[in-house]
Amino acid sequence: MTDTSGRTVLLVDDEPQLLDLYESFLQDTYEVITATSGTEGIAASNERDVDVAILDRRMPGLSGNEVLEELRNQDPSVKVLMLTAVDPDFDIVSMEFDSYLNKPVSQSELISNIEELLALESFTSTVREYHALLRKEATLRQSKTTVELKRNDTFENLEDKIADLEATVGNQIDPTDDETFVSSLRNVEAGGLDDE
Amino acid sequence: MSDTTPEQFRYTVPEELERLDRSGFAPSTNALITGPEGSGAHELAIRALVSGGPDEGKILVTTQIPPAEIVDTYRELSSDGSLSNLHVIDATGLQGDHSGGEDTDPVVSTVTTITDIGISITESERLLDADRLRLGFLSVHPVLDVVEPDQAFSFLYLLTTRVEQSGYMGVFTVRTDTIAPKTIHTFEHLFDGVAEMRPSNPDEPTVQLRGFGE
Repeated sequence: MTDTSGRTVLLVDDEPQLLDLYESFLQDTYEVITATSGTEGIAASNERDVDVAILDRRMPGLSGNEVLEELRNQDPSVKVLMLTAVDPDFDIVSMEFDSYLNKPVSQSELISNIEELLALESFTSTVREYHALLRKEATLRQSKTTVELKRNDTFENLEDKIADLEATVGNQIDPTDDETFVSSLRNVEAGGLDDE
Repeated sequence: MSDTTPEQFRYTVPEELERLDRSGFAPSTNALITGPEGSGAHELAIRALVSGGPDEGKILVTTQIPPAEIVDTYRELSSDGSLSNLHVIDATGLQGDHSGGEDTDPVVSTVTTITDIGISITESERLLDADRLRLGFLSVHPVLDVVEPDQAFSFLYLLTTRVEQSGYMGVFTVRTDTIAPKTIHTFEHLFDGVAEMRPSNPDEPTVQLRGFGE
């Protein structure tokens, strides 16, 4: 399960009643920011670190598609969920969102989708850590003898941690699911989390 | 990794890639073929795809060799010259220098990002509609020219785990004369076995295997 503490969700929808409803769905689990227009949503994301943005597609002024583009320009790693009454058409192929849901949506469905998006972020972070430890292991293997490595507790701990991370990362996402696979790749390409 | 399916299906592979078990690769196997330029790594990888049966799908991603050249080699190595069930993904434009050359018949897509490689793989899988599939990735090193090593590692992680969890067979190549040994060693963790091409004799390169069948 992804740690949701301190996660911020940005909700953008021009219908105040829906915003209120979705906010009530999410406010016990996440920190929620609401915006009633695309312009307001972009401004909010400039001021705060947003983990997941939930966008209505059809809005007066900036559309959800335009907000999506702007958010991607600002921060390619932000996860974007399109939540809309617009049935998906072939135009979605070129849109860089991470998930798509049709209204109406239940609380459990919405939270479940957000959790999947946050899991992508966790995956990126874990696989990065896994890679960093493997690099350390490779460095030690190049500079130490087999006997030195076998006798060293620190190296043994390193190998244990690598095995743990290998198991953890393997459970975080399902790469056989096309949407997860592509979203994960997009996340990797965007650089994932900020450099630590 | 590498569990056999109930029917004990195995992917047939060139003899250089077999060791203890002479009956081929179990489904979900990922192999890495390493070697310097001209070592025969690419040819061995293509032969690993060619050796598949007619009911198997084959997806070949090329990041460096022009797709037309890849297709010619594939056709030459195929016993009947057939290109059936082959999809080639042209990723030679990853580094932004794609010449926009002519598309060859089995080329289904031309891509310029690692995300698009993934999208094209999913599309090819759908079009091929084969339960058994071989993925060839020639070669990994240009990916390192466009993304950081940790991103390349994550990209390979996603590809190899997709192969593994789908019961496919994956063959990836990497040039050892362009990538630091430490980076290659790190990548090796993602594979079930490594075939190291040693071109001591250009006409007959030796292959050292690690991991397969052990």
